[in-house]
Amino acid sequence: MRRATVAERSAVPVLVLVTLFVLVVVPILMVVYTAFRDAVPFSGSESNFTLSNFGALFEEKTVSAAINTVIVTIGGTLMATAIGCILAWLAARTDIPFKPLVHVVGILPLFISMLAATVTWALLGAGNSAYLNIILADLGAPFRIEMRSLAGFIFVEGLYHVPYPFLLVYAALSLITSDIEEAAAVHGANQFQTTMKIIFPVVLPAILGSMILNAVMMVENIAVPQILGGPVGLETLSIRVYYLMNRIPSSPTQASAVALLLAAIVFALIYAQNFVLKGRDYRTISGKGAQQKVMSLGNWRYVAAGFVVLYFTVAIVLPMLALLLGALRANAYIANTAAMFDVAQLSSDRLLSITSDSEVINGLKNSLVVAFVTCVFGTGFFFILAYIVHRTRIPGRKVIEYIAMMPLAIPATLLAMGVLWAWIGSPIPVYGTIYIIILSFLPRFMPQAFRALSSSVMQVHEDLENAALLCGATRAQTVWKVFLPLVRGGVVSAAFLLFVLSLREVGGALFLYTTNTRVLSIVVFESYENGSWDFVAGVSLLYTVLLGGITLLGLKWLRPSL
Amino acid sequence: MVRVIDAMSIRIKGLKKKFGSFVAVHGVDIEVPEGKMLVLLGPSGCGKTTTMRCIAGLEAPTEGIIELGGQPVFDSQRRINVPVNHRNVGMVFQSYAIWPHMTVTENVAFPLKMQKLPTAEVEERVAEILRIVGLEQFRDRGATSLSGGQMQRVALARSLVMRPAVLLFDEPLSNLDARLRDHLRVELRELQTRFNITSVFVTHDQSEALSLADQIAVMNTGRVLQADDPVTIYQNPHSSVVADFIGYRNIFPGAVRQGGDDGILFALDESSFELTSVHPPPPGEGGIFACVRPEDFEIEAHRPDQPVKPNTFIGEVTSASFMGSYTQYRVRSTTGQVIDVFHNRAPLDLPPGSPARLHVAPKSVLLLPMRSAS
Repeated sequence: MRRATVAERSAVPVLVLVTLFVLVVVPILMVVYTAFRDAVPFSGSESNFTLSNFGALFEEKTVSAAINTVIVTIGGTLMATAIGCILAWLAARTDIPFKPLVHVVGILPLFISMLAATVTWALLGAGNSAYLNIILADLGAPFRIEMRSLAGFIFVEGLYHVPYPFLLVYAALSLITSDIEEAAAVHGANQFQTTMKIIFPVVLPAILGSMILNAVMMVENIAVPQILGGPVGLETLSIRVYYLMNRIPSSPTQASAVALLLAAIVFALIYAQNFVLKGRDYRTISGKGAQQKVMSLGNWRYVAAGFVVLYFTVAIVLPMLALLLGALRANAYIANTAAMFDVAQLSSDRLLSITSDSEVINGLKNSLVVAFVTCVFGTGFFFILAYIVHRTRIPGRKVIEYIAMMPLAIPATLLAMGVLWAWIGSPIPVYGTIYIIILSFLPRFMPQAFRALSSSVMQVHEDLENAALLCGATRAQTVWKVFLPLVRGGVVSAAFLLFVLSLREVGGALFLYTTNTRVLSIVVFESYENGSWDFVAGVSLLYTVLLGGITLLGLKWLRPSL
Repeated sequence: MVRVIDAMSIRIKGLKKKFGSFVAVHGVDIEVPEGKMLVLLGPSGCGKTTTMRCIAGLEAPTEGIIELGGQPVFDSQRRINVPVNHRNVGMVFQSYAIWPHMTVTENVAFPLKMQKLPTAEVEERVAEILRIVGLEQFRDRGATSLSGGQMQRVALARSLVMRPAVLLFDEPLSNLDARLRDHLRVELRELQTRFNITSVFVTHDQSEALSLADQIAVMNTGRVLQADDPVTIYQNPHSSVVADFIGYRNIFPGAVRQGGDDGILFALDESSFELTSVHPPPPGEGGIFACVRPEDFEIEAHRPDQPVKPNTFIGEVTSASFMGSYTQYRVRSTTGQVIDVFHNRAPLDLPPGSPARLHVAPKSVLLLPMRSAS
């Protein structure tokens, strides 16, 4: 009947805090520190304090990249939010035909990697030899599409970020019970007034929240400016950081300074979110997704269905066709529309050769290993974090929660740089192995996985555990016999989320790979630079099929995390 | 047959619990003799649940001593704190806390499995207890397919089966509907006396407290205001706050006018009305309150030509609700008081708006301080 000593009680939280510090805080500090030095620290060369790196912020290219970032982010966010809200409303509150399919369409783009999607739109609409422009020329249309422009950036970003507003707004809409709408009707409001004065204010936090989420992802996106912007020198801040790091000679200290500017923008967005959402959390409005009234669209049903089909075609069907065509063409040159669909010009040789390409196979192997290890370690560690934060009174749990959510505000490029410098000089030889990529992916996906696990931890009433303790179970027995069985669904879901996110990730792996440790996303990213489009299309196709297949297999488990 | 549990007493001395700078429990002293039921009664946030969670070991007190059966399970000075899973304390939660991934049998067998008892004994004891709480036909059901009342029975069985030193009830009936609540309350009291288990029951419902308790401790703002048996506390509350919890609906502030042989004359604040009481006023300074239970008023129609006895309010009925065994009237007196009356006999012809007079005997008027001097 002895009390646990102070040392015993604080061992776990101290260990957890140290691990968090190394995973999250050290890389960030490395980048901040480097931004104020004239050479990369711990690189062997001597470094001194300087402010000159921030001169890079005022270079013409950085300024225009910053302006482009803002334009693309605002445009893309508005487009994604508009489409997402319409789809969510149609799926949740109308009598649109084939309603469950509307829901599928709303979340489908989530399972297509941004990288592959951008490749397809380069094939479809970059320059006069792109597929859509060939068709337009044959139709005699007086205009051409140009994806290698800010409008193109906005279009691709907006098209594929629809699932986030869709999911958040759909969830908010389905949480509103008909009661509060009926109450509005009883007190004299018509359908339109009810929608504007009751429904809209209640889902507004979800709309604003998804806008900020999308804006953050667009600010740090690197695939779009690389693939669409690269050929015409159109840059955003994230790709500017990448170029500064990768040009010869590279300018890592200036890259750090620009990365801090990028982080400042993200930080401002997150601050804005907290400010805007303050006191506007209406999630408690109802416990369950109760009976809901459905609005009858009449003949507008067909217009609504047409909108859904159009979005599905543009976001999914066209790109997949383009990818197939790109991967199967024997000859990259296409004279006209007829030639485009000429079966005689198709060949599966190239595609088959890709599946036996050592670079591709190696990348696939690396991707799966990285995803698996990230998934196993991440799930275990983040579960411990969520348990400590929500189920114990250990001092320091607030700090743990704060650090776990911190990477949300850290752009992928900055994190990857920080991880590189944090480990390159360390006595533990992880640089050059795939483990350094895992060390970057773990903090990168920490907020998403931590949040998913937290919500399942919080769903279990504390009394359920207390009852087991009172029955004589130890804390470990309680977690094992009562707690884990109850959260199993949420844990599997979070693990799967980690696996898929790891397979998709590009930005967090930048600067960290070597020839032998490239993951599949990096193979696509780099092969684009080497030029051969049939190879890029083939690998993208393979990558999309892999991601799509895995997601489909695990959809049932993934659902709770969405 | 049913084994009577070796009951243990509970003794709490100087219990204090702080959450940060907030003091939830302010030095509480409680004793519960073997086999008795103590009810902690008070409004939410009064510290009753925290006190109980300290007994269970779910909270570590800031200061004080807790003894079960004479053995300390917590002592801040001697640095003793027996962990919750070694205290052998049973607890029935407001939320039921039935494990949804287990069957009824698995739920109830859990504490015995934790004690590593042989399978045969576990099965025998589980079957016996399920029969006692009337759930034997549900033994293989998933626990979440049961109704609220059945779930609370599972929770009770799960606590009883471990033969706990003491059994704690955290508002176990408040999630149930009224009829089931009455039913289960009686059953619960029966089981508690039959097994002779020392129990602590937390509630904010005065009728629940009066019907269940051997002892009631009325708590407010982290302190025990009064601890007595139900009859004493009902007839002789020490303060107006306790009187309020225990069902004295009519509490009027005022001051003693004069003492005499036929009683104390008490003037109500903000009016000229005077009440006579046979009870001596409390000593000391501070405000005094006249407290009257609603069933101690006699209500009748008021006719101006008839003489008015002393200790009689005159006023107008503002509402009348027929409750079955009694009728509840609310009357606004001409001197400004709002008075609640339970009329136990046949309903009177007194619709809202009718003039009425309310008489109270001087022995039914208690003169109490806001808080007792102790």
